[in-house]
Amino acid sequence: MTRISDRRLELRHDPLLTEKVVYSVGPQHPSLPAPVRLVVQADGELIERVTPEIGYLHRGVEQLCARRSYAQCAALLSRCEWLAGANADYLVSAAVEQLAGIEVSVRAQWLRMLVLELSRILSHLFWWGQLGLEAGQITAVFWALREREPGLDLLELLSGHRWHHGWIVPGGVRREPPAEFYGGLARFSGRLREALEHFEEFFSDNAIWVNRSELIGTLNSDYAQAHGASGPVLRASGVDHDLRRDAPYLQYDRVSFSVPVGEYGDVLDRYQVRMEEMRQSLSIIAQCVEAIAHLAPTTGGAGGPARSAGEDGGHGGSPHQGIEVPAGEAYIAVEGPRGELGLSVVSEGGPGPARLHLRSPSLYHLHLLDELCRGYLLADLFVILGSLDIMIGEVDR
Amino acid sequence: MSIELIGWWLMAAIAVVSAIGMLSARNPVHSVLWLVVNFTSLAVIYLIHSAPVLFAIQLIVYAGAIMVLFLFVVMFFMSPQARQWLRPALKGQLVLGGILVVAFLLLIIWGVGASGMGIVFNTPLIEGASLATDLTAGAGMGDPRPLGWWLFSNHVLPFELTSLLLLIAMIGALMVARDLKSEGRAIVPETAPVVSDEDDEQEVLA
Amino acid sequence: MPQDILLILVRGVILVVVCLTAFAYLTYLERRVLSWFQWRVGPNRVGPWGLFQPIADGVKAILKQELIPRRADKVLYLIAPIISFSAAFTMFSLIPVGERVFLTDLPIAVLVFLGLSSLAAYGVILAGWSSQNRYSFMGALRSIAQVISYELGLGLALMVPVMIVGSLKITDIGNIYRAETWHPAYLFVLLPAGVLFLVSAMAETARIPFDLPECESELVTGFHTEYSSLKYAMFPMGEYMGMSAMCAIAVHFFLGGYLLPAIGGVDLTNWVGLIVGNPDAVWGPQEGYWTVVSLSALGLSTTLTFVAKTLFLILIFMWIRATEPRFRYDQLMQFGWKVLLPAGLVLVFLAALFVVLMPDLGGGAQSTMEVSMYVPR
Repeated sequence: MTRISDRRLELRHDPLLTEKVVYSVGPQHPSLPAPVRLVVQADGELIERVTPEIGYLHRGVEQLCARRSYAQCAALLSRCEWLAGANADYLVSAAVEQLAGIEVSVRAQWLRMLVLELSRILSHLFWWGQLGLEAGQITAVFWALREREPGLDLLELLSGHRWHHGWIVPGGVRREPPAEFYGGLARFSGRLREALEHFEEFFSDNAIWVNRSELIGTLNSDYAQAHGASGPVLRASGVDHDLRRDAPYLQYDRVSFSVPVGEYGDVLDRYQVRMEEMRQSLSIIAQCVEAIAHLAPTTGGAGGPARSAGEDGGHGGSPHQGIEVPAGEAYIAVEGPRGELGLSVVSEGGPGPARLHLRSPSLYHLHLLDELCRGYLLADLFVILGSLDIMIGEVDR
Repeated sequence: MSIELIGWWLMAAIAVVSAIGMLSARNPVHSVLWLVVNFTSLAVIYLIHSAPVLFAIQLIVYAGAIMVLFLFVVMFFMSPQARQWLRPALKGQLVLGGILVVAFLLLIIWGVGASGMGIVFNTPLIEGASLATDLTAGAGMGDPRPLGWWLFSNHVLPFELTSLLLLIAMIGALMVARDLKSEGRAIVPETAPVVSDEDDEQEVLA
Repeated sequence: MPQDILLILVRGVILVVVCLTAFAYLTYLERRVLSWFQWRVGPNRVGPWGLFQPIADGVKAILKQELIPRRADKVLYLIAPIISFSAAFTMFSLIPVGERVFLTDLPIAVLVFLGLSSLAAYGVILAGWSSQNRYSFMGALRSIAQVISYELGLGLALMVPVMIVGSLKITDIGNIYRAETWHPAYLFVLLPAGVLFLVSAMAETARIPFDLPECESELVTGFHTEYSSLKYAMFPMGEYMGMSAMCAIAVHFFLGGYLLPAIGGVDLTNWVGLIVGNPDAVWGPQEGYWTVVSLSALGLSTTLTFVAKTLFLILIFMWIRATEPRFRYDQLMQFGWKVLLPAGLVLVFLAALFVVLMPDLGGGAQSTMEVSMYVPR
């Protein structure tokens, strides 16, 4: 498929001197996943400026975290990244481990990787359905949720929770996956592999969709890098950058996967990059399962958590609630579903962080909107928004 | 009094009222809509006069297409709150206009009377015919074929000329609307000037 | 005269009752069909198989609180839903549903149909303009542009069978599909015209992928964003009736109307007509009772055929709604003006050529002969 030029329309001086329109999209709007307000200044339907107004979902999470234990931080942060809460769990655990110098068993690392990739897939599936809605395709979301459901069941099998599972804890993972987990995972992967082919038929071969997405909302690589884009958005713009490969954590340097890169940075590229990422994640999951099968469970079950306080955790007290983390600073970043999700922790000793900051990709991507939408039509705004996969919970913390 | 005659008087009354409404409405959108009502009642009058084709054409072309375009344009400029009252631009305009209206009215009455077509006043409307038979028989003006035949054989030149005239008018309007000097120049290159949203918020509050 | 008025009233009541019921169950059907596409169950709780769901929906719509924006143009705001609702219903009254089963069968039905479909646009426009909301206004603007553009394709597609038959009467056009008047050569113009008509009709009734006047992801719900309660419900009513009317017209023009299919060159309608419609020929002279029975059998069988064909087209509309994403506004306009309109013009040209070159076929020849009687002296 060759694409010739940018389809951005030139903003021109309006000879009739007609009034500009200001659309206030949100904070409540059917297309917005969560409350945020976009002030869209347009010449008719031609967008001139988009100003995101954020803060409608501000919960003061970072401030709250400064007064909570690490376990509670993980729970709070997973409410910011609710489609892939495992990332937040991992970030907090990795920060604690780095500060306290805890070694995590190899098996636990593989297990963590497995769950992180699984949540990437689940998040992307949700994104796919949402994008369908934004493009006026009302069936996609149900197809996506249908495939997503068995994945959530798997997570529930692991931890008893579907969204905010808290399965990754400092020192390892909470418990060994039950035996039926792997069977379910194989079924889920097989099904999804097939479903993805159907999904492609749904969108990729659809002339209307290609027309709506090709060279729409283009983002060039310089602008993307200068403005802090990361993850699929950055890769779709042609920048070959993936933390899993370029700054490997866990056991990512021991799996083989390819990093899909786009060329034009348009909606179609972002779409294709994410679709390919799902396939790559499936392959990583398969490799994880294989690696785990060759590693015997360590004593204490699954390279279990550093059980410094209380053997079973139980209610109220998390197993690592009593961890005394030495003073220091740590920055942990993962390649989340939406981009580089980073956590900066300042510890002054004690059971909780003194200061904590989440680097959320959605915040950066939301502010790309102005550049991405200028010169496109109002209808494109929503498709572009959908292609960025913005999570308001990350934007407003 | 036949049902046709009742219908005729009703439609005539509606036509007159809507014409007055069109003139006196203070919001142009209302004027347009009064005109639509007027055209529709005229269409029904055609129907009563056993000319269903004229009825349909009046409905499609005037009430449908042309007035929708009118509305399209007027809607852009008028908010539902707008109330405008055009002041006469010339001195004595209203008086002169009134005289002309009366003169025109007299002319029409004279013309109708002289032509012996004083249908309403002299003879009962549509002797012996009823709406139902006309509609089903497709007689006289009810048949589209003679109309089409006339239009596309005898009058094909004026017909085509009219379309040409409309085309010229359309191109002319486009040329007027386009400012050739600023053509192709991006005036808003990187960042567009911010239009304040305050007006809207005040509107909402008001 | 009074009995005429009574008859008109009775017919009107029948129309409204049938249409309202049809509307209610079309919403039900659409929800069920969409849920089959989307791997869910759909409404199945109210009554057997959820069949009372439309009633519950209706009650809910009526009982909802009624909100009128303070700054709206109240009169127009109230009139708008009535216009779009009644235009669609009137449209339906033009359409014969079976052999000798119709409310009206006007000789200019096609023209009135086109007129009504353009009048229906007023409802949408006024709703958008009067409710003082930018989303509504934008929806109204899009709607006008869309209706104007696609009306052309619609009209041109309808003109093709009209030219071939040489009549503007719906039953005349349906009759072309009878075994004795049918010729396979018609397919060359009628088939593309039918496709053109369906696409234009989809746009005219603002269904996905052409649902820009009310596209949810952009304009909240477009022109009826500010409507609530029963007034809101009247828009979908008009929309569904408009869609059904379009499908019904398409059935008459391109799918053989209410005629039963012909098998092996033998028109089944004629068989039904022969056996029960004309009992004298089969069973000898009978009394009035038998005539009534036979006529109703003919009427019933053709009506059912017609309903089945219309439902088939409606299901296609629903199928498309479930699978296609939405056009962008400018793409829609381009499609209308640069693809559909030229295609329609070419088709009309072909149809004219057809009528001139093959005057022996169908009603076309007849009409030219008839017209020649009007040649001015």
